[in-house]
Amino acid sequence: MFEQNKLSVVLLVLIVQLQLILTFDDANSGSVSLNFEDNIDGKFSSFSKLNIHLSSQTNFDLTPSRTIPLSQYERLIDFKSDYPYYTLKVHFKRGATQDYVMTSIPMCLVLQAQFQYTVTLFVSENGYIVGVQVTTGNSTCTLSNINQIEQKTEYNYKATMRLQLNDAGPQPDTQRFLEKLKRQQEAKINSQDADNRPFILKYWKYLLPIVVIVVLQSAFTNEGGAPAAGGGGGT
Amino acid sequence: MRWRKVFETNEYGKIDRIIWYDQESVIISGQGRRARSLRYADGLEVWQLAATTTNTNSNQDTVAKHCQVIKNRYDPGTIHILSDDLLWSVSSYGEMLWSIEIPIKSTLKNLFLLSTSQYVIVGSLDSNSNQLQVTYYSKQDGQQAFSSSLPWSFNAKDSLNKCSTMNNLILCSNNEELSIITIPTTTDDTNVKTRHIKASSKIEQIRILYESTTRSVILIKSDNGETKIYQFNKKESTSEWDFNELNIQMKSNSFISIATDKNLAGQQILEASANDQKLNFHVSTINEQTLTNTRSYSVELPENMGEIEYLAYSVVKNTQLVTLRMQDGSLLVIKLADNGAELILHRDEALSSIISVETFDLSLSITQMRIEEEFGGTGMFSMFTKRISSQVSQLISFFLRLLDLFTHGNRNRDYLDKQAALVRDEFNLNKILIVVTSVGKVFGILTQSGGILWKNFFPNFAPFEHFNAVHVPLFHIRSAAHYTHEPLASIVYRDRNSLHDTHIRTFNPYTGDLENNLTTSSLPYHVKRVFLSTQAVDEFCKVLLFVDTNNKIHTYPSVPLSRALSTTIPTYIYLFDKSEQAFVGYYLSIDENDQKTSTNLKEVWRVSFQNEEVINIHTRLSSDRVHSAGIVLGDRSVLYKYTNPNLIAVVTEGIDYQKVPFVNIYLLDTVTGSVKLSHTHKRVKSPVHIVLSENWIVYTYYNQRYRRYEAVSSSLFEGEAQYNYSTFSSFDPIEPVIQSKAYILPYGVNAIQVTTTEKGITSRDIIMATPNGMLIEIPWILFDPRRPLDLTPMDREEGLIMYTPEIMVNFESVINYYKYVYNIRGIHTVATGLESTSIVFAYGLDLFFTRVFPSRIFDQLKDDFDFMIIGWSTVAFVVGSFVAKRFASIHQTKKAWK
Repeated sequence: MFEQNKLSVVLLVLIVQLQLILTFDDANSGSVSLNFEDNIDGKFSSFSKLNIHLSSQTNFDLTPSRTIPLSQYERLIDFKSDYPYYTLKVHFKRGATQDYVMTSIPMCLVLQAQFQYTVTLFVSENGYIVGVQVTTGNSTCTLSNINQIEQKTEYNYKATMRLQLNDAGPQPDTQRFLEKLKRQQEAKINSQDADNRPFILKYWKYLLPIVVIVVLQSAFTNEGGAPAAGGGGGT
Repeated sequence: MRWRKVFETNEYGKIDRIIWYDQESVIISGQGRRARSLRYADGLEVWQLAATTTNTNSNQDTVAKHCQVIKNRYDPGTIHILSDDLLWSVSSYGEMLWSIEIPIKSTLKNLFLLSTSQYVIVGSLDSNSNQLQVTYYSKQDGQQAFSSSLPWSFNAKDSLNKCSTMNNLILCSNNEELSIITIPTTTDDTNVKTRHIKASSKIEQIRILYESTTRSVILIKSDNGETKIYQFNKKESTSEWDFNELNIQMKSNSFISIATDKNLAGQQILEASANDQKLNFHVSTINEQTLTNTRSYSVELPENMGEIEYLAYSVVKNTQLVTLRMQDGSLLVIKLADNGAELILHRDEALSSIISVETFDLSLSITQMRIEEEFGGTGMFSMFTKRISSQVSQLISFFLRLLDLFTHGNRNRDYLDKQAALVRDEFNLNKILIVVTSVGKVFGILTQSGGILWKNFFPNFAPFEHFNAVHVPLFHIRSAAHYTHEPLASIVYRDRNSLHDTHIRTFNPYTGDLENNLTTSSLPYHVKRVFLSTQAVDEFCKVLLFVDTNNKIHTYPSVPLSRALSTTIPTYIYLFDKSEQAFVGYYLSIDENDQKTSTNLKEVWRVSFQNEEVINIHTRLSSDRVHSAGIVLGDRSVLYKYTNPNLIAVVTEGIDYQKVPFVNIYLLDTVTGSVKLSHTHKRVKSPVHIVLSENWIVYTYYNQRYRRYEAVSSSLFEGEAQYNYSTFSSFDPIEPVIQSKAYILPYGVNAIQVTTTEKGITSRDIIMATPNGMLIEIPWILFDPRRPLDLTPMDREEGLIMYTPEIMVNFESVINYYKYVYNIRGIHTVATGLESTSIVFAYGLDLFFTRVFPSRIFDQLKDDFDFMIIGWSTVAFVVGSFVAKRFASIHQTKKAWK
């Protein structure tokens, strides 16, 4: 009877554990498929696709599916449109949810960096992509500078991607504060306890003047007659 | 005002019904879950009772409950309350008589509550069989006696909205027909009688004007404005009622109230209607089917108050009193007497519903203006003539003033004092507050005295919705800095009747006079967002920019966009899409020579939130100033602040995959759409109050796990080196370093704000309004996220305080002392001419205004400064130096002779 009970408990625990793992798996391991698009052709077109698993790795390199020929690069430098922005659109799909996030930086910055930039994806608590950021390492540029950069026949995307997860908000640090208070208190008690030096050593500061006074007094009373007599002799 | 009682801010404070007795009244609140009695004489809460329920879980509280409260007409000391599934009775002495739970199902809903001398009757709708189950409970002990059912044609929602109960009658309106259903009161009688009254058009409202055991009066209002009044009389020894129409001619907008008094021969009926600034009253005595002794009164109101919203007529000791609440929130008490009507009380209750506040500097005095003028010219000759002419005019005005003083003495002193109150003081400490209330009344309030300078009421006003709150954009169109032009303020609001129409009203903040050129009620587009131009266009006026539903931007008044916005600095706008829970950033490109007055926006970024709901956005104050770019550390190095002016704080709420509720705080850059800070707090509840200023953010929330309020403070730093010392760009590749600390707050938080000073040199204080009525001023250094747990000499050198998890509040830092202010919804802070001083205006149910000195008074002399001692010692020194000089010369001469 008892054995049977034990078995059923174990089974129950196992089931609960399995369920926990499953729910965890269901929500967390569901990989996110990403599709990167930019607007260098004048309209959005994909240049890289990626499937990532959250919580395993935070840095990725994008493998571009196309390159930018020199002609297009030069056309971009001459870009006289009223929309001088390089826009990166990231489509993401996670389970049944599908959406996109977007960011833009001046086109000139991307050209200057020759399509070498860092993409930061901000990932929310539930594993969805909240936002995206592109940085090239510069904030200003002029088109004339770009012309002087060595010319290549073909330009390649050299984009690295970083995932930034939500930080857990700070908690009031009562634990460490209390520990510190405890430490302080202990230190105080210890300092009192540790002081088991002999009485003389501990209070010599107070004892010494008394001793000196006593010694001096006794010396004066002893020699009281002699110096006075000596004085008398002098006059 | 004799006394006041402020109820809870949560659902228990929401009053469902008040039942009036001679000495005290019983107030039922919290969806029928609380009953309490207040004594009229002193406002003392005599007793309070809470409903005893077994199944009160927090999830159920969010579901809209239905509650009915009735006073038993046969036993006036007993009150029956039906709150969803709970039926309970209390006596007016504060005794809980009985309480029972009625089982409900999703198909069975308790709707009606009626009472007779023996039974309490509950009518519940069974939506499966479309029948109304009528259950009788004993009035003495709540025991179920018997039940019956009758066919019912209304659904639950219609039954709630279109039906009323009265004695043993249920009155329901069905288009043009009013059905009167008589519920039998005894077991012997099981006949349910239904009779009908026809109206000329669709019935809008049924109101019960008077109810007693034998007689009742109801009012039926149709949507064509026709109002009819019916009188019901109980037939002798049956439970049935006779009714007849009272012959009374009424205007479509008039209100009716009935008063009974023991001394009165019959009942008096009062008809009141508002007409512009006039209130008209007709008082008559009800006499069988007609009205007799009709008397008319009218009273002039001091201002336009819109329509009547509530009317109560009472006769107290032969004094006829009419209490009204007007559309503008005013509370009026009018006394009707033989010699006419008299307004005896007028309170602007609208002031308790402030939603937008702005402050304006007062105008310069004439002499200050002349000084401005004196040095305003260009060219040598014009400057010279200006100088001479202004000095001559100063001389003339001085003589005129002297003459005035001699001839008139102090006679127009009052007028002068009033004028002086409107003139800017030396340190620009006194201002004028422009407040907009949710009912559409705008007030101009002088901060010096708290007196209302002017008020304007806009009857067709409806505020915009902003997440869970309402707001009205209020802008400085022209500031008070241009002394040659009066300042101007604009408000933008929706039309009460057609919510897509937007109104713009521009007025002078000193007088409240409307500027008709800048006032319109017809914008040819639907407004999604409104903001102010960065550049002044004509006569120092800024223009309003509107984003319409097609994401097109327009200017009002119509000016080329290139004049309204800077063409060198690009303009970015963000909009929030509620249906997709996404922020979308737009870029606005303006060509310098472009004369277009409207243009399309181009999407540049998008931030989307999945499985979390955005509950609030917080932007920094436009007056926020950063004085120093960094903090000097203990080792004399500098830690540079990350002062991004494009940041907004976004608060979202959601439930994670483990079903744990969380609150997320994000700092979004509105130029690139990147996230600079994201904090997740689990098991935490909104409301989240935020202060965003300089390079830091402080937010508060309620921690459900520890049941306490907490504050988190985060600072953003660039680091030891500054990327660009002259300008800031959101495209700068800076990864801000974030430092955060959390603190436990000793009180809850209703509102939070930071002090503002002119140059931002003075240290910052956080002003916090607590639910217990205190306004607390807490130095920001107590919230500093750099507070170390173990204080090193370096930290001490820098002036950091050791970290303690709790923020200790001194009672000295309560800035309103014992003048407690309740239900504060917002705090407005403004800089003054003195760097040390910041103005604080807290608003909510109460208003509170004061000045605070976050770094003490470093640029002023103290009040107790001894001018005499300084004066006399100066004189003594001067005299002394002369004497000493004389002695010295004598001494010199003597020396020379030696």
